[in-house]
Amino acid sequence: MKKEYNIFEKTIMYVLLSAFGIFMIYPLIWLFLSSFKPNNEIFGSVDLLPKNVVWDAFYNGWKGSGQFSFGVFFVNTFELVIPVVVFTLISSTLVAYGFARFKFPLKKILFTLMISTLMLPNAVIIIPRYILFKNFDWLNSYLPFTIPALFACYPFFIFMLVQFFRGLPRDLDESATIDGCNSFTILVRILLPLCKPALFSAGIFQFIWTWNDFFNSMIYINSVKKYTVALGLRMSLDTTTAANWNEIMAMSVIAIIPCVLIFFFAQKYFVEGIATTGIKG
Amino acid sequence: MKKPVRLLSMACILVLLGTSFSACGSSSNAPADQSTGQAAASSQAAASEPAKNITMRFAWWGSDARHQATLAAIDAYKQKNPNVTIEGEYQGYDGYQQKLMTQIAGGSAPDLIQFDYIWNQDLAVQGDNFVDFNTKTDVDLTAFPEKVLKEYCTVNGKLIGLPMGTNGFGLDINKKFFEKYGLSVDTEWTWDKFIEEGRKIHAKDKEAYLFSTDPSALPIVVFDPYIRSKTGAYWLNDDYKVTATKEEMIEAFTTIKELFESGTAQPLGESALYNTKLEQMPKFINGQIGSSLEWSGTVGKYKDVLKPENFTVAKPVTVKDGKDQSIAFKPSMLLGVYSKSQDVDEAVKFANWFLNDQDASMILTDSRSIPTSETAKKVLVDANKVDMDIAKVVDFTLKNPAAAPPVALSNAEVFEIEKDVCQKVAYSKITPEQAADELTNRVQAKLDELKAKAK
Repeated sequence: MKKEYNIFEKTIMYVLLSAFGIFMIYPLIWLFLSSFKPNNEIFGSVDLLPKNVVWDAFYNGWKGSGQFSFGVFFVNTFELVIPVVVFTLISSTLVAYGFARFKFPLKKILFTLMISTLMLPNAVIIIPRYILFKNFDWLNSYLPFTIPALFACYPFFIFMLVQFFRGLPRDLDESATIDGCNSFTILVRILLPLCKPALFSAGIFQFIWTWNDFFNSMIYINSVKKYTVALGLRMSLDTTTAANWNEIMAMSVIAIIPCVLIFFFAQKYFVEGIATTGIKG
Repeated sequence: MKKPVRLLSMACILVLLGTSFSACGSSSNAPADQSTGQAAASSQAAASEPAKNITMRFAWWGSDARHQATLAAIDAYKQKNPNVTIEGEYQGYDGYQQKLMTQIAGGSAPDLIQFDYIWNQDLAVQGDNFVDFNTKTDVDLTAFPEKVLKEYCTVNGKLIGLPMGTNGFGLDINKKFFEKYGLSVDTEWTWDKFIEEGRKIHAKDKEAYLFSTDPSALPIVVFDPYIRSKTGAYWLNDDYKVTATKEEMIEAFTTIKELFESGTAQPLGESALYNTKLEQMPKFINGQIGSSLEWSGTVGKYKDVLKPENFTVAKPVTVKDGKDQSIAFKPSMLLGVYSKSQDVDEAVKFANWFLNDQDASMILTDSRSIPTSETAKKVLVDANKVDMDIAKVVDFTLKNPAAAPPVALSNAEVFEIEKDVCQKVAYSKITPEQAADELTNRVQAKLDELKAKAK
C-alpha cells in the first residue's frame, strides 16, 4: 500500500522539505537574532548574525518603562486569557448543543441573528459597547472580555461547534437515551469526548486571538498596571522618537512562546480526536 | 414532557431579554448621577479640608524616555502635594487617538489629556470637552507666546489646551554625506541651488541622493512651503478660496518634478516603503541619503541611527528671492483638562505646575521637545539640558515663525487632493501645467462644499 522511496528520492524530498521549513521559520529566527542587534543593524543590514552583540535587550525589555515590568503584563494576560478561553468553550458548547440538537420556537430567527452578529465589523460596535460597559462600570477591568465569553458572545465558535455537532450521528444520542442518559448527560458523556478536536481548535484560536488582541484591550484597559502583553509591547512606540527595537523584539520572542507551546501541546489532540470520531459500519 | 420544557425556555428567553433591556435603561442614568453627586461632594470637601485625597488620571503617548520623565515629574508633584495622586495612563502612539475619541464619546476620558492640535476640529465636533484655560486663575498664561495660544490652542474662542513643546521645521543633515560631497552644512539652501547640487551628486554616485521624502509628505515638505516662501501667503485662505496663481503653482510643481528628475530626491518608489520611518531605511542608515526636511520632534530618532557626531540641522530650503523667509512651526502637543473631571481646579493646577514650574521642567527636560513655556525653556537652556540640534531648529523657527495655516489646509480631504496631485507630478504622470489646473479645480470644488457646510 505504501510506496517505498529509494534513497535518491528521499534525499530530494528531505532537502526540499528542509528548505521550505527554513523559509517558513526564517522570520522567527530573524526576530530572535534581531533582539541581539542595535537599531542601525536591525534595519541597516540583511545579515542574520549581529556584528555588535547587544546582550541586555532581554533584561532591559523585561523591565519595561520602569513602573511595571513585563512580568506584571504576563500575569495580567494570563488572568485575562485563561478565563476567556475556559468560559468561551463552556458557553459556546452549551449554546451550540442547543442549536444543533433541540427544536424550540424562533430557532431559525435566533440562529440567523447570532450569525449576523458575526458579520458586524468591530469598528461599528466599539462605541456602543464602550458606553454599555461604562454604564455597567466594567471599564479598566477584564470584565468586558470575560463576561461576554461567559455568555457565548463569540458567534464564530458557536457556529463552528454547531457544524461539528451536526456531523455527529443522532444514532449516538438515541442509543444513549435508551441507556438512560438525559439531554445533559448525552452532551457530557457522549458528545463532548467526540468533540475534542473541535474544542481544542476553538480553544487554541481563542487563546491566540485573545493573547494577541491589541485594539480591544487598548480601548477597555486604562491603567498601565492592568496592561496585557500586547499593550506592553507597543507601549513605547512613538512616531517621533526612536524605540529600542531590540528590546521590543526580545519581548516579542517571549510573548510568542505561550502561543507556540499551546499549539504544540494541543496538536496531538487534533489527531486523536479525528481518529476516534464517527461510528463504523 | 415536551411542552413544559418549551414553555420554560420561552419564559427564560423573555426574562433574559427583559432584564437585559431594563439593565441598559436604568444603569445608564444611575452611575452618572452618582458620580456627579460624588463630584460635588468631593469638591466641597476639598475646599473646606485641603488634605482631602484626590486621584486623577493623566493620559499621554510617547517613548520610554518620555514615560520615565513624566512618571518622575508626577512623583515629584506627589511629594509636594501628598493628597494628590496622579495615575499615568501611558501608551505608544498607535491607537491613542481612537482611544481618546472613544473615551470622550463614552464620557470617561482622563482628567488630564495630552493631544495633538491637529485633532482640535475633530474634538470640537464632539462637544465642549475641555476646560477653557482663559477662565482659570490658577494658570500662568503669560509664559506662553500669545500667538501660539491664539492660533493653535483656541477653538471657538476657548483655550482648550496649553502647548507642551515647540516643533520647528528644519533640514536634518547627514554630516558625513555633506563632507563627502564637499557641501557646507551651514548653507542656507534655495530650491535652485539644492537641485543643482543634488544633480551633481547623483551623477557621481547613482545610489546617492541628496534628499529623501515620503510620498505623503510632498505637500508639507515642498509644495506648501514653496508657495508660502515665494508669495508670503498660503495657497488657499480662510475664506475657502484658492489664492495662489497658476504661474506660482506651476513653479512649485516644476520644482517637485525637477527634484525627482535630477536625482536630487530619492525615487518615491523607494521611500514609500518607509513611510514616516526613514530611520528604518537601509539607505538612510548607511549614509546614502544626504538630508530630509522634518519637524524637530523627529530629530532624536534620526540622530540615534546616524550617531550624534554625524548629524546636524539647518534652516529649511526656501525660494530664491522669495517674499517670505519664515519657518513653519507648530506646538508638538497640547495638554488639556477634561471638562467632566471631578477636580477641574486641581487638574488645572497640576497642568500649570507641569508646564511652568522650574523643578518640573528640570525633570521633564526636552522629553516633549523644547518647552513652549518661556519660564520652563529658560531653566533648561540655563542648565544646558536641551538637545542642541533640536534647540537650533526651534531657535531658527522662533526668530521668524510662519503664520498658522488656514483651517481648510489641514482638512483631510483637501490634503488628500493635494497629495494626489503632487504625487502625479513626482511620478511624471502629468505636467506642472496640468497639475496646477487640476489642483485648483478639484480643491476649489471641495472648498465650496466645505464652505456651504460651514454655514
